[in-house]
Amino acid sequence: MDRRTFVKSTCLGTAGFFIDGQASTAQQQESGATLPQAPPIEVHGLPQTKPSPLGMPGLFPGRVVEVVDRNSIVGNRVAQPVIRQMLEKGMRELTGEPSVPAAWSKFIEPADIVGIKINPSGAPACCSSPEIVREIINAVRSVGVPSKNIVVFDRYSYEIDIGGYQTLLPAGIGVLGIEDGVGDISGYDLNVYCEVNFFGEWETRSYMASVVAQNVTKIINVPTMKDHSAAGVTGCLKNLGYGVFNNVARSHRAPYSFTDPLIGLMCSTEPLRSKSVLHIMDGMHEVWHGGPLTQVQDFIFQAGILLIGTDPVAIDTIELETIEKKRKEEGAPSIWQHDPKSITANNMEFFHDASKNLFYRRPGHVASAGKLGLGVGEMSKIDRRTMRLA
Amino acid sequence: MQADKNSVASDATGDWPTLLHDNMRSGGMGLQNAHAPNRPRWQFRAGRSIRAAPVLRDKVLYVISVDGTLYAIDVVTGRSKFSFQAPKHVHSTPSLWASLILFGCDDGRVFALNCNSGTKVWEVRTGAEVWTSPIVWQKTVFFGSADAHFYAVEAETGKQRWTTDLGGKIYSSAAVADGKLFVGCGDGKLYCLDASSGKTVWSTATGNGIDSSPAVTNDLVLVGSEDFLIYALDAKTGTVRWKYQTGLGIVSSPALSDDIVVVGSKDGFVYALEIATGQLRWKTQVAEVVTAPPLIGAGFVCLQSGGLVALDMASGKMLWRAGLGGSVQSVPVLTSDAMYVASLDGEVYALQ
Repeated sequence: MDRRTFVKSTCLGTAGFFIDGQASTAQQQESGATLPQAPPIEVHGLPQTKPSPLGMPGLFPGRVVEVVDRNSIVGNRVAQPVIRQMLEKGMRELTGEPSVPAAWSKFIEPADIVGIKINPSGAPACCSSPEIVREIINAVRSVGVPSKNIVVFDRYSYEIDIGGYQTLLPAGIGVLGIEDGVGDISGYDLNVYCEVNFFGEWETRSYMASVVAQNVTKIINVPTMKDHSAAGVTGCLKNLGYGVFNNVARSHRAPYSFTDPLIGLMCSTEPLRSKSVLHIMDGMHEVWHGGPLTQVQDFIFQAGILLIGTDPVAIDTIELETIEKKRKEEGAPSIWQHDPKSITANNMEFFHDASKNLFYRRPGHVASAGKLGLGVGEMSKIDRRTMRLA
Repeated sequence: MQADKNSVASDATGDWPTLLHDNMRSGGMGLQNAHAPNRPRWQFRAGRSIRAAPVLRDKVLYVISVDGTLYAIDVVTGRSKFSFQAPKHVHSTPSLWASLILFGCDDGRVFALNCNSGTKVWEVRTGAEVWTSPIVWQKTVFFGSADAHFYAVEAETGKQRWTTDLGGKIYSSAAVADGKLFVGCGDGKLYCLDASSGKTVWSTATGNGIDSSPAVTNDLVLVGSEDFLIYALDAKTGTVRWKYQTGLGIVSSPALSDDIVVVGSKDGFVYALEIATGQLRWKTQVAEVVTAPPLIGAGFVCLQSGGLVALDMASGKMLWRAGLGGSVQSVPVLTSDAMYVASLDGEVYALQ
C-alpha cells in the first residue's frame, strides 16, 4: 500500500479494517477527465482466518506461463485434446515438476473441497470454456479429489445456464449458481463483507458467497481474457472479487466506476485470498472491445492462449498488455484513455463502436491489487515464460 | 408415429399438458391461432424467477418458480387456487397426467401432486437434480436426472419400473413415440431406449453435450447439440439423415409443423429447415443469444428471447415483439383465446 492508504481496526471487534484513498491510478491516465477518489471502504473478512502460504500471490509470485496453440480453437470450437496438452505442459513449467500429478499436487490435496470459479458472463461468445473446465476437473480428480468434492460455481445461475455447464461437465460434479434470482442473498455469508457508499446507494454492503467463505478449501480461478467497460479488463482479480461478492454493479454509475480499488480489496479479503491457489486464464477468445457481455464477433479474436500462474496480478498485467496491444493494432483507443467524447449512454453504440465506452475504464485496479500485496504488477519484474506449441 | 393419448393435448380443450405441448415434444404443431397481444388479461406475480414453462389443463395454469413454489392459477381470474412448496429449487417443467402434476426438484426428487388440491401423492428420489420434464406413456412416468440415470416409475404409485445408466448428465427432456424414448445426454449422445425395458435400442454421438430436448415426427428424431449442429436421425436406427450447422451451440429444442422444423441457436438466430432434407428455408436474428425453444402457432413461430417474439412461419419476418417475457428456457402456452407467458423476472401473464 502506498502512503495514501491507511488501515485501522474497527470498533466491531472483527478482522475488519478501513482503507481510504486507495493509490490513485489516475497517475496512469493518458489524458482527459479527472476521476473521483473512492470513499472509505470497510472490509470485514472471516474472523480467525489463518492466512495460507498458498494464497495470493501463492507459491510462484510474479511467474506466468503463457501457452499458445493456434489449433486449440478453430471456428469458435475449442479442441479439448489440444487443451489437455497445453495445460499439462503449462503446469509442469509453472511448478518445475516432471509429472502432471506432481504439479497439481503442489496446490490440491485429496481431502480438499475444490471450487472452480468460472466466468460465464458473456456466454456463449466468450466465457470460461467447458473444455478447459473439464480438463481441470480431470486433473483435480487425478490428484485424488472425488467428484463430489468438486464444485464449479459463479454468481449467476442464468449465465451458467446459457453457458450450458450443467450439461457439459461430468456427472457427479456440482454446478452452483449462487444467485437464482434478483435480490437473492441466500447464498451469501452475512458476516463477511465489504462496506462502502459510492453513490448514495441504499444497500452499501457486498457479501462474500457462502461457498467461498464456508464450503470450499481451495479455489481454482478460470477467468476469461476480456476488455471490461468499467474495470478496463476482467481477468483473475475481477473474476474473483466481483464474481464472489454480491451487489457490485453499484460501484459503477456512468461515466464513473470504483472498480479501482474495490476489486483488489475484495480479493484481499479472507478467506478468499488464502483459498485462491491457482489461476488459469482462458484466452481462447480475446475480447478486445465490448466486454464483458459482448456477443459481437468483430471484437473477439480467437487467440488460443492459456495464462497459468498463482499470481493474479502478474497474469492480469499481461492480459492488460495483450488487450491494449490488440486495440492498438485495430485502431481502437487505449484502455487508459479518459476522453469525455468517448463516453456514450447507448449500449448498442458501445457494442458496435470500439471508440466508445460506457464508463471511464479503471485498469489501474490491477496495479492497486499489487500494492495490496496480491502480486507483481510491474511488467519488468514478471517472469513470463511463453510456450508456443503450434 | 402416435403419441400416448393420456398426455396429448386436445385441440378442443386447448390443453397443454407438458413441455412443448405433447409427448413428441412437437412445440405446438401449428394448432392454435394467435395475434399480437393487445393487452394483458391478468398478471400474476410469483415474486421469484421462473425458469420452467407453464402447463395448462381445465382452465388451470400450473407455474413453478425457481424457489420451488408451484402455483395453480385460475386462468379466468388470474388468482392462485393453491400452491405447493417444494423443498429446494425447481427448474423442471411440470407434466399433467390423469389427476397428477409431476415435476422434478433440485434435491433429486420427483414429485407427483394431486393437481386439484396440491396434495402430495408420491415422490421418488434420484442421485442429483432433476431439471427435465417428466413424460407419461402407458401409465409410466419417464425422466432423466443429472445423476446420469434415466428412470421409469409407475405413474400411479411412483414405484420404480427400471433405471438405466447413460453416459452423462441428463438435462434433455425425453420424447416418446411408438414405445421408444428419445433423450439427449451430456455425453453428447442421443439415446433411443425401449420404453418397456430401458434397454438401449441405439445411440448416436454428436460432437458435444446435448441439452436440447428431441422432437419426433414420422420416422425422424430432431435434436440440437452444443456442437453447433441440429441433427435429423432415423428414428428406427439412429442413422444421421442430415445435419445443419449454426453459428454456436444449440440448447433450444426444435419445434415442428408439417414439413418445417424451427430451432434457435446461441448465435442469436432462429432457423427454419425442411424436415425432409435439412435445407434452410429462412433464418432470422431475434436476439444476441437464443436458448429457449420456439413453438409454432397457425402461421407463426413464437419464442421467449429477451422478450416475446413472433415470426412469420413462411418468411421468418418479425411479426411483432413484446418487451415482456424474458426467458432462458421457458416457452409460452398457446390457446385459441390467450397466450400464457412465464418470465425470468417472476411474472406470469395472460395475454389477449
